Amino acid sequence: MKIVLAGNSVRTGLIKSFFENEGFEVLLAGTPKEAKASSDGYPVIIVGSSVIPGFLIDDGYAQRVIAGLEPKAPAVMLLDRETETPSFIWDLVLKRAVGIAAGKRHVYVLARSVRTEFPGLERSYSKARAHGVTFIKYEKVSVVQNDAVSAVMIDDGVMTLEIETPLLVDCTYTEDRSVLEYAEALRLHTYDGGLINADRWFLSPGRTSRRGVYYIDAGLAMSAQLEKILLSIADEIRLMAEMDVGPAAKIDPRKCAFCYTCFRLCPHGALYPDDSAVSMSVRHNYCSGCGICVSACPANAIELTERSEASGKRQTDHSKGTVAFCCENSAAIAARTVLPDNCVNVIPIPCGGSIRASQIAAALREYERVIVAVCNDGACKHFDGNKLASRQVERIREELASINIDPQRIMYIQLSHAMPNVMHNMVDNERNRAL
Amino acid sequence: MKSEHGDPMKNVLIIGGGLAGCTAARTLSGFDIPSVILESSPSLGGKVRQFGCKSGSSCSQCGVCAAGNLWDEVERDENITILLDSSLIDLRKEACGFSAYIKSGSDFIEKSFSDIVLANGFLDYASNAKTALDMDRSESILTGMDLERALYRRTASELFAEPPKKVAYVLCFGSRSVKEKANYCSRVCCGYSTRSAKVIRHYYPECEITFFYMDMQTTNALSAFMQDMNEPGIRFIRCRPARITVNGNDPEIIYEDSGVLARETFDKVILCGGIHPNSDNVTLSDLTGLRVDENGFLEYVKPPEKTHVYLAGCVSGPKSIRETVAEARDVGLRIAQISEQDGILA
Amino acid sequence: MIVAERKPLNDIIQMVRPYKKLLIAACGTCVTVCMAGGEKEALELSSLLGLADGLEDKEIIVRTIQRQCDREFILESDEDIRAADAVISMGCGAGVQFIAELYPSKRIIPALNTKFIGVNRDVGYWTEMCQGCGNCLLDRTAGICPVSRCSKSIFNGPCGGSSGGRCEIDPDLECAWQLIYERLKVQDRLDTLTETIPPRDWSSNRDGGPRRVRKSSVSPEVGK
Repeated sequence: MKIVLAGNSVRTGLIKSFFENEGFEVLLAGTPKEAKASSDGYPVIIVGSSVIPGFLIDDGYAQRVIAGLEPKAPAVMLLDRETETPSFIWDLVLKRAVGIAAGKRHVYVLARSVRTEFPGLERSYSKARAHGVTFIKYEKVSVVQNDAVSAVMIDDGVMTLEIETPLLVDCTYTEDRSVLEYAEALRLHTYDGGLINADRWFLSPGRTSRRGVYYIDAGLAMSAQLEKILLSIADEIRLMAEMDVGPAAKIDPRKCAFCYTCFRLCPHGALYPDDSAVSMSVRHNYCSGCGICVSACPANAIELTERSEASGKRQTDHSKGTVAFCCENSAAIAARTVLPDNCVNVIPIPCGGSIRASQIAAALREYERVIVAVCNDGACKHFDGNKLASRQVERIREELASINIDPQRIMYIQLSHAMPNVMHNMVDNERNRAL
Repeated sequence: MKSEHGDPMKNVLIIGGGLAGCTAARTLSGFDIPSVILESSPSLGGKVRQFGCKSGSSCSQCGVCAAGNLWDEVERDENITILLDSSLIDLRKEACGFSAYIKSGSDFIEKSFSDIVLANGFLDYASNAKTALDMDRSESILTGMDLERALYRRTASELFAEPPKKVAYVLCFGSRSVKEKANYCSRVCCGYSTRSAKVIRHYYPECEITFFYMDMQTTNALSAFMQDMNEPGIRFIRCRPARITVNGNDPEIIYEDSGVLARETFDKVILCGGIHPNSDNVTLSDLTGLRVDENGFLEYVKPPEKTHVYLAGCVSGPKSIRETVAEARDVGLRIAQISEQDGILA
Repeated sequence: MIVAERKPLNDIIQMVRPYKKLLIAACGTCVTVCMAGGEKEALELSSLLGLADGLEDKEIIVRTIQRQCDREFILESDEDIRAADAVISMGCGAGVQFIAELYPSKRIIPALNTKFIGVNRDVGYWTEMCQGCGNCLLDRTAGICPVSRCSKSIFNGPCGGSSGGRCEIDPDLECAWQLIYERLKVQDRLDTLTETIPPRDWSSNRDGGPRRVRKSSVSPEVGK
């Protein structure tokens, strides 16, 4: 089984060996263009390359530097000078500090704040303190460089301290911006100006918006968790190769107008123009069944093979009742928790973005009220599904208003399953209004 | 997910029906591997099921949504047997696996398993401390769990019965402290406190919020998040409160700020409590051969692929929802991938 | 491709009021791509009409005609067209007329306003590029059409009224001649601007009746 390993990191060699040991054939891609070219059909692992001070990772270099110093002179490791130092750098700093202190040299570690949430970091701190490393928190710092000696002046808001040292290690870490180029080449969704997984709960370590494309940032690459994460990625890749995952979108090539709308809107990069270029095709293993393409296709050429629309329909009096299109990741769960069985007809949908204006319009012919209930902004597993839903609702409301039908017959709410009372209240208010 | 993998010889005992246990069970079920969940309380869900949504104007990525449908799915899953009000009495190694002696309700059950997953979670320090400090009659002093429950009950317009004017978060309550026997960082409190603070400000924009902290643990994503905290009405005071008392109706905090001792009352004080080790850990360590580390959490002695005993979730140390789900899923994947030939019992 | 936009609902409602059995004929080509008259929009229109006051008793069906500018596709829906009291065509103006020609006694209602020949700039956004003037001079203007993209359609621009690169008639538009200048500069062909483009013989354009194109090698002698 082939995989593509992209990016130039100090860890690339290690990761390559890991996958080769697991039985994969590893193709290297040094640039985003190469990654894009070779990624068609193969899983891709992008390793972020960031600039980590050589003194922290290159043992040989560090030893040479230290050997050249005066025996009694202290070493100073300066963190947080311009930007906050991430936890994994702390891990490297502490290990290096212990190494220097073991050579009977005094080490100062200066930082604005102490990172503690990296797993296992406490042990490193204890060890460093046991070796006599001094930790000082500062608010302001200034450095004056004189030939071989640096004078570091720190101020913690109460007092100032000056330390002279021949070895000032500036532990500034430069983030990797080439990741943005990879994101563009591989059509990955990015957040917050360039972060690929950015703390999204549904992108567990190493995952991206596209199945089969993984991103290991510098912090992850340097951490002790790396092997565990690589193992889980290897397991997942093997699984994906064997299984047919989830409900997939199916395109009717006779109807497809090849307008590329679905290709552009798919949050998971699961659509591609097929070889014969007759219509768009779906990479089943990458398709998450969100249904956004189904809603977007102007030719109605796409359907989900496993429809969740039919399930959950309950028998109610259609002519007067309320129907709620509920995102199955949030609202549908909330509805099951707080709505009594027969008050609202709940139709679970795979994502708010799968709802079509025509569906809402059709529902209005059977029901007095239509509720569209989707995820909160930023919570959508398919990134912007809830916003697509809100635009569909807006459009239909405008159409309704233009023919003198009350646009508020369609109600739109955003919630998560962990705030179900929002739905309960809305339905309650509706019923009270109707009475 | 279905596959041809389903190893007919595998049967997994999962101790703990919370996020980690249920996630592992569902992962295994995807491979048609049956499991039994032992849950000591009368219901599934553990702590996470009570957590509320921390979306203010937008989702704050707290991870609660990972649990979403999980409890329903576990209950409907034919591959998973749920034993509530149950606990493990004894565990014996056999030629091929384990024999577990289980108390379920008032019955005793003996059953064989090929693998064990310990997912019994953590002890909520703040809840215990609140009782010990005689504060549990005060509605103004909340633990992190109390706040989560309030968030769960939130409506479109209301979070608390009375709009608060001043709220204080006390961080590192029960963490990073030798005195409280928790010489480690609980890792999640800075995250949930800042996220929930945003929600409080979303409902009550005039509410003044004060954080008593040691170091704010922020990650990349949270840094952008933290910029939102740089607003009028939100204070960060770098100090562990000397004393928290209930003065009449309102809680009062005595603290040091820039060398001066100060006292201040608040409408609500939120104790961001530590993740402390589960009280069952020592017993489980005896039964399974895993070690209890210096903080009381369980850790591996030998690789789990050899011993067939796995850890998932906060039983092995503080971790976020995201990390717990990833770990539990990985445990499930590992158990499923290892065939009978690979796993050799020590 | 041809870009069109659906008419306001009320306009369509006024036109369909007298008829009971309606056939909404979507078109599967240009108007699908510009999201105005494809099957999805047709289904939506069907539901909205059904909601409108006074139209509840109408029988509405939806069919998609692959292309309304080729007879064979229209004839595939022959039965449904004959059975309907009126046909709402969601094709471009050409499609509406072609159906009307094939079924001269049938009321054919246009659901769209055909706008222009244009390109897709982004999902859901199209801009005009060509007005079919019949005598293309794009080589002389570095691939930017002064007929369609200059508000005044002048041939030897700029008019001098632009400001900050924006057209004086519509400040949302970039001055086409500025764009032409800049691109000719990039191509090192600024000298092209010194050649005057002579006044256009507009008889090759929109006046004087419908234009015809015949490819003699293929077309039968007497064309319809």
